[in-house]
Amino acid sequence: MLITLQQELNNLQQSGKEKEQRIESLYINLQEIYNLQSNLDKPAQTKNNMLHQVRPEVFHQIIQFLDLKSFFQFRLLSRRANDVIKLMIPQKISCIQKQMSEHQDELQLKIQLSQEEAKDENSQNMLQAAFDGLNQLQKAHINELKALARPTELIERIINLICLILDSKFKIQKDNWRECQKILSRQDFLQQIISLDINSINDKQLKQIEQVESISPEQAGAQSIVARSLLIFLKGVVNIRQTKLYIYQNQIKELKLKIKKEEQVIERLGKIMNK
Amino acid sequence: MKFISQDDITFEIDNEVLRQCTKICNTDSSIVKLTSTKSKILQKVIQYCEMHLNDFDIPEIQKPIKYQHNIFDIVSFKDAQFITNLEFEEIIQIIQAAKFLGINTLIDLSCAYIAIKIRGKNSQQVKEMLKSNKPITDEQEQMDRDMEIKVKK
Repeated sequence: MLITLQQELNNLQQSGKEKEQRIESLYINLQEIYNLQSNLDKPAQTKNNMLHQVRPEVFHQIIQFLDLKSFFQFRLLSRRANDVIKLMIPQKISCIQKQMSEHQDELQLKIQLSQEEAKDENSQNMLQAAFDGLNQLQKAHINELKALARPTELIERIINLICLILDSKFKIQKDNWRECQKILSRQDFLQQIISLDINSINDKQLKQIEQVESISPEQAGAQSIVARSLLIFLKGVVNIRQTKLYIYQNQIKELKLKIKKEEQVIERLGKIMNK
Repeated sequence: MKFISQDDITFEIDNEVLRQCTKICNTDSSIVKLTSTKSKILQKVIQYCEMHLNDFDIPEIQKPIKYQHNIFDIVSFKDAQFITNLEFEEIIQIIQAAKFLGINTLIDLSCAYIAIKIRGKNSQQVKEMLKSNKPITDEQEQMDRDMEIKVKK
């Protein structure tokens, strides 16, 4: 009797478990149906992606308007975009090669012009004369200048400009003689001027230094010999920067940089194409 | 000439307006059925053609567009205003319609605007931008697919 009851109880438990499982699976199914229904009721949740609507030829046309950076970026958009980019690469390479050959022609011309200009030694001599003038300066002269408690306006202006070419962050303003004195006190002040790299002077600095064109060496010489030498040096720097030779050399540098960049881009494009 | 849109709306267009449509301006047919273009899009395309009714030579847009330039710098004010008032989705459909009709200046304008919008953005941002605000239901998708098959036939 006890055994049969035990068996019945087991059977009931078993069927109870089965029913529980059935209810659970029904609940899951119901949940799925509910989700599908809610998707249909609120279609805003499933958005339409326009990327699939865009045809390759339209992609091609859009890409033509993009610069190189965006061109590379566009590749990552989708498989279709990548395929279009790959198809466009040969065209892009030939376009860059054409541009590069134009730059190379221009470079050759500039080299030729700069070589012709280099034969004219005037500009080199002018700077050399300015440096020679500076060589005559001694530390004692600078110390004398530094010791001035209240320099004249002209001297202050010249020294301000000298400080500016040594330090691009230096701000030219009235009553900043103390700042100038700090720079004048540098141990290697004269050496810094003599070893100055004229190319390192940026356009903003140069524009301010051009003020010296309105000051004559005689005017400066009447107030201080040191200021006169420094003024001649500044004039030399301005003259050199304005010479054709310097301009050509700068253009050559820029063109070489452009050609190098174009070569790198072609290499990168080639790599993408062969992937 | 008459244009009939996908939703069976007829547009009557003067031959002068059609001058921009290079593919159909020299055809003899008087009715053109645009089975994949909705009336709303076709209306915009016609509006563009009417806008350029007296323009015999629309300048070409420079390729690639310089980074500092926006759409108002590269095209005329009326063109820039026209394109900036459109939704992205509309522009893509306009390109398809303009391709069919051969309105090259409208294709260029639309592509240039899209290029300006997507430049400087990473792929994820572009994907987000290209997501339509308009929801799509299964029925709609099926309808579009059916229409495409019909057009191909």
